[in-house]
Amino acid sequence: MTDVTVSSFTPTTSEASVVMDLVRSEWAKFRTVRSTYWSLIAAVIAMIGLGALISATQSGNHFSFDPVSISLSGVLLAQLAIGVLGVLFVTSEYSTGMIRTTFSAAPQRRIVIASKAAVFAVVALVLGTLTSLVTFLVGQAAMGHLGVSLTSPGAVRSVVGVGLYLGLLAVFAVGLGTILRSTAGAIATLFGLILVLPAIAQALPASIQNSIDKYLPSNAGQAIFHSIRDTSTLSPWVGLGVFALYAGATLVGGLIMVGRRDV
Amino acid sequence: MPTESPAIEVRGLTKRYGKKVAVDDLSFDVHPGQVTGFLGPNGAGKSTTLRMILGLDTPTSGSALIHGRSFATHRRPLFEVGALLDPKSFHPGRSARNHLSALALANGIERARVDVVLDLVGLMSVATKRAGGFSLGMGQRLGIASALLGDPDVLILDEPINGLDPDGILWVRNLLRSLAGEGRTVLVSSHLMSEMALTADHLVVIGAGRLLADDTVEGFVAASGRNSVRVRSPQSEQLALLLTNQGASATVPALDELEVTGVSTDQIGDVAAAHGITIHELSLQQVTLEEAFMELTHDSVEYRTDTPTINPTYLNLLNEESVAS
Repeated sequence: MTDVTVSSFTPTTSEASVVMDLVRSEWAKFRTVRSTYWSLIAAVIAMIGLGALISATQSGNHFSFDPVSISLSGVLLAQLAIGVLGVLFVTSEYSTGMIRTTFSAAPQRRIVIASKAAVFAVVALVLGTLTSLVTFLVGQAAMGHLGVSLTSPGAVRSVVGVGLYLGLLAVFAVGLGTILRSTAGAIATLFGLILVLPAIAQALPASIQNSIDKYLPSNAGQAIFHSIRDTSTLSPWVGLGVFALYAGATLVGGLIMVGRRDV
Repeated sequence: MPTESPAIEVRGLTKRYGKKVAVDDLSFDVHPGQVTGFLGPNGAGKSTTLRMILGLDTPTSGSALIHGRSFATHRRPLFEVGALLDPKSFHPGRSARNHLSALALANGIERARVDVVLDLVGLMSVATKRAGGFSLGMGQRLGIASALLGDPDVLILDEPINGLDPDGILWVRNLLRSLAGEGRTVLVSSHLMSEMALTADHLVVIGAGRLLADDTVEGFVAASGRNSVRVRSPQSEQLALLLTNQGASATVPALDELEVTGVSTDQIGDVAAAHGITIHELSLQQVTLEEAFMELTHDSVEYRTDTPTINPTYLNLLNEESVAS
């Protein structure tokens, strides 16, 4: 094939804004790699499975027995899958060189990253809320007579809260991936912040621990799905707000850096 | 010579990484309607320059404009500039078609165009296969497909023939020539002068980040200081004397033979006629593009194998051994 004709094409530009084009592009990228499906399936199985398992083994004689949050405890595992996927959504572009192709098709780097965050946050929010609802119902059924219904205080807020928490975590992970660019570094940092940091806080003297613990990202964010409050946690919406600040600040940091750095 | 205004204007482009200067005050124009070969040894700063033209790297100083604007200000750049930077700049888990579709969406390009470019680069039969399984050559083809997606006026391709088989090289060469023939601007980098000799009309040669030559292919060769004239004559000694008096220099590679530099074939012929010297052969020994390139870039090559790297002690040992034997 030595005869090449390229000129037979007249570009037709859709009227939609550049932003919508980039959101569509990122949505298309999200849907077309296998790791997306594996991670999301893992998150769903972890949330429902672990929730059901823990719910089924409850005896209910704990003094602060919280059937709502117990049924949703699978989110602690599911969040890892969501976090990893959010990090990979960005870092896989850097590790493969795809990022140069992306940015030479779209020099509006900040909009590209913001589109990634938006696409994945919506997916995590919707899938998280639906899975959380199923998890709640399965968990309450597994608890038998200890189970409560959606009408019990804090139940709807907790179920929706899981979706909101995972949606914000998605933003957090995309932001971290953008700042750090390396898959291993970003995943290690994410796990460090949401898993290791609370564990370290546990080792601190009680006086310091009480004032720090509840402001740590995961502790603050997870207050939204505890239906029974104690003094060691922030109130649900304040906690979620604090977590939103962490996620937002991380994303903004990523947006600033991606605009300045060489690719 | 091109009469249109340049499509790409590079002005005083400089990139420093700490103390190391990767690109040093580089200025050149790239005109439409021809293939411009961007040449230099490995590490000369070609890729860095192309990344700066594409707005991926920020210059330390200077500017690079495409159609009079910096790349970052283009809203839907694929319609104006198509680029191939790496043969593997795609996600290995995504199929060729999905990869191109995502890019098309980013610029609002109609989806039908994806299959057009897939067909054009010969990847239609593997369109749904994961691109991670592609050979280097197929990766290059996918990169070229993405560069052509928006049917742009300007094409910037970094080493597009790396990893291609002879068929693929011929295909790229014809593609680039026909794109330029349609009036497009084609800037293509390579470290292979022999390939550029066949593909390019114009050459921009850099070494160690600096501009070494900006000329047509013919002009580049003609300008090389190593062009010489071969003369065969039974009176070669007499002729050599006459020519050196005129400021030429001559060597004697064989009996009755001269290799003369510094004078043209016409001048030699005139001198010979004036003194009744018989000439059996008078021929211009034009250097190849490859030789002209080597000559030009020799001093700026960063990684070289012909410089002696054996340390002096070792040389002394060798000498002592040879004395002993």
